[in-house]
Amino acid sequence: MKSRNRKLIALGLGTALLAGALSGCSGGSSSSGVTTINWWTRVGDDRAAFAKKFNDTHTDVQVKVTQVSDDQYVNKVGTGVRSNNGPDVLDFDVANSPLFAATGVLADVSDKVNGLDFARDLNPGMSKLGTYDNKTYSVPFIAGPSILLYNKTLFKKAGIQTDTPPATWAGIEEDAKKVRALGDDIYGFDIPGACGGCLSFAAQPLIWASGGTTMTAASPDQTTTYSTSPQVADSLKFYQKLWQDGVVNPAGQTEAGATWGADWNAGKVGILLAGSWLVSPAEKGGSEVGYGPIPNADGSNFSTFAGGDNIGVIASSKNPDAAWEFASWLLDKDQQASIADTGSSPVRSDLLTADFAAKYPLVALQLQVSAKSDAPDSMATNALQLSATSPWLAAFQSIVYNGADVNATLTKADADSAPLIKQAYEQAGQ
Amino acid sequence: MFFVAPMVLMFWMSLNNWPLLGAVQKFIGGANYAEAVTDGTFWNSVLFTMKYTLIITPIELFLGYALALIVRRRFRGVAFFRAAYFAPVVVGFASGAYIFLLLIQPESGLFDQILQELGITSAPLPWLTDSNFALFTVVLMITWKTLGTSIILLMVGMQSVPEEIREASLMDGASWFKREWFITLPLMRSSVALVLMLNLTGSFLAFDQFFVMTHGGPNQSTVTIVMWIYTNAFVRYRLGYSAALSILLLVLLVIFTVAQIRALRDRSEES
Repeated sequence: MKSRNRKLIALGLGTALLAGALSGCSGGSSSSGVTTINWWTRVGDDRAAFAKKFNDTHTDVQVKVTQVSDDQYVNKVGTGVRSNNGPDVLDFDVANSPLFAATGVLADVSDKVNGLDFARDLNPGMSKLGTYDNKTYSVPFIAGPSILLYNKTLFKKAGIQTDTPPATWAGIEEDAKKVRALGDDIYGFDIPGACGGCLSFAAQPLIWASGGTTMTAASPDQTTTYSTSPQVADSLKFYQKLWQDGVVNPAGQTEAGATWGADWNAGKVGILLAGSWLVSPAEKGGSEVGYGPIPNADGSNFSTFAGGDNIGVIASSKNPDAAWEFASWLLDKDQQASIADTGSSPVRSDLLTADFAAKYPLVALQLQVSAKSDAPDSMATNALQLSATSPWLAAFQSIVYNGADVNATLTKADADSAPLIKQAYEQAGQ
Repeated sequence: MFFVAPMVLMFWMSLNNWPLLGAVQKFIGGANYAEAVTDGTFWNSVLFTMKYTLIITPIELFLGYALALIVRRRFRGVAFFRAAYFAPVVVGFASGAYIFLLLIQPESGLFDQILQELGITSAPLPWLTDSNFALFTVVLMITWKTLGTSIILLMVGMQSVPEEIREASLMDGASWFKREWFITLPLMRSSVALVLMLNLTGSFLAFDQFFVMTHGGPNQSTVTIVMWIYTNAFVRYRLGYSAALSILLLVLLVIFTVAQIRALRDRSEES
């Protein structure tokens, strides 16, 4: 009986949500002089709070928020824009910025962004992805950079100092070996090896910190640089070595993303390169967690993945000014500072004061590493690196897990990638 | 109407460059089909899907037949066995795949623990990291998940064979095997045909189980046709090309199904 009631309630809620979504689609200006804009956003608890705060403090513009699940985002945006009942403003996985810019989904907001007095404080890696063909199509909104996490509880058990995180590749390897020596199901390191999107957090920062890159700038003439940027081979060899040392959690080889960090949260992994969201679950699991930047081999530099959400105005929006008013309001200091309370990272480096760093040490680290953030910048990133069938993922797996010849494998990955870039730009008519 | 209209639209899409995003829709005639002919990954996925079908179908038929024999007659507890065989069928493909993913985790999974406790293996098996083993793992999951349907269909087919005929053959001194082979099986040909056809179409359209469990890996060795269609539509955003691949899949499926029906019908006419 109870479950039947629940089903009825769920059905009712579903109908109500559907009705809300449908009415949200009509959008546009109303006769009362209030402009209503539709905001599509990725799934996140804090989004509705932003919309409420904006609506409570604005009378001429009101915002309606629709959360769209990640795995359908591009598809939903595509159909929404095509049928002219999509959003006016949307935030999205920053990896899709070049795609939405190059296919004309987003409006050129260069002038508006240049008019912001804090434009130069915005997250550089995410800003780079928002720029296409020297024009700005989207701006950073919420950042989710990757950092080095280490389990202090395991480190102490293994007799390793815990005051500072491992700061070189040799240091990572050495500490991982000591943690691995603790026992059967305790591993020194964990790699999400079947998840291209996770590797952007967990592998590429090693390349960027070393001064390398995986592709040239976004353009129809773009090429991948797996075989020509020697830092790519160096970092893959580093991971290959860790795997051959036997210090890496074997479950990671088939980790496709859904359970990324599960063993880390359970206190069974010593070192992990991931986002800050894996700090508190591990602490709740009873581990003391430390963190630091992701270093290059000798520790002289660091980098991070410019992960997170960019926000932009839809090119076909009937209310672009109201949409930008809302988007830029999200970048105000108050709103940005409130992001820190949720554990995610703001995108403005001018928030980073001594007081702020003392109050939010983890967020402060994210802001610091974001100064050197980078990301794959291509409208074909999904096909090139993120999907299960991407050449980058295939090369990564062959080299790290199967010990394949590094140079030959990377040369093949470049060859396999070229037609994907060509296809993507041809599709978009460029 | 609800079948023909989408089909016509899909065929029209397959003749166009039809991106998911942007407005650059252009008629390109048979170019998508020409590309498909030389698309190595597509033909590899066709071969892999056929291999998968050729493995799963006999398992479903023979194992299904064997288990259907057990629950054919009423006996104490038959309801339990029938329910136990059928229970996994109501679990979704994706849910079933996730259940198996947990069972095959190298450190915490139940399968490795049991095998190691029994002393059969000494280390975690390469469930998804070796290409043949990955196929085996998926076949194991799908057998668990769908065998119930085959069992029920075959059981109903067996029960539809008049008891008098079987009794008559028993009087004539036919052995158990001869009764099954020459009496029961020919009389339930339509049930067997149905099981074969459902398995053929089901395996040809396989997606969820591979998408969740293997992601097409390792090294893209387990990419099915539908997974490749999905990749082109929602990773590469090429709706036109994926429409063309879908049409080709439909053609393949029609050819194989018709061939299968013919094969079964011809033999029944001979006998």
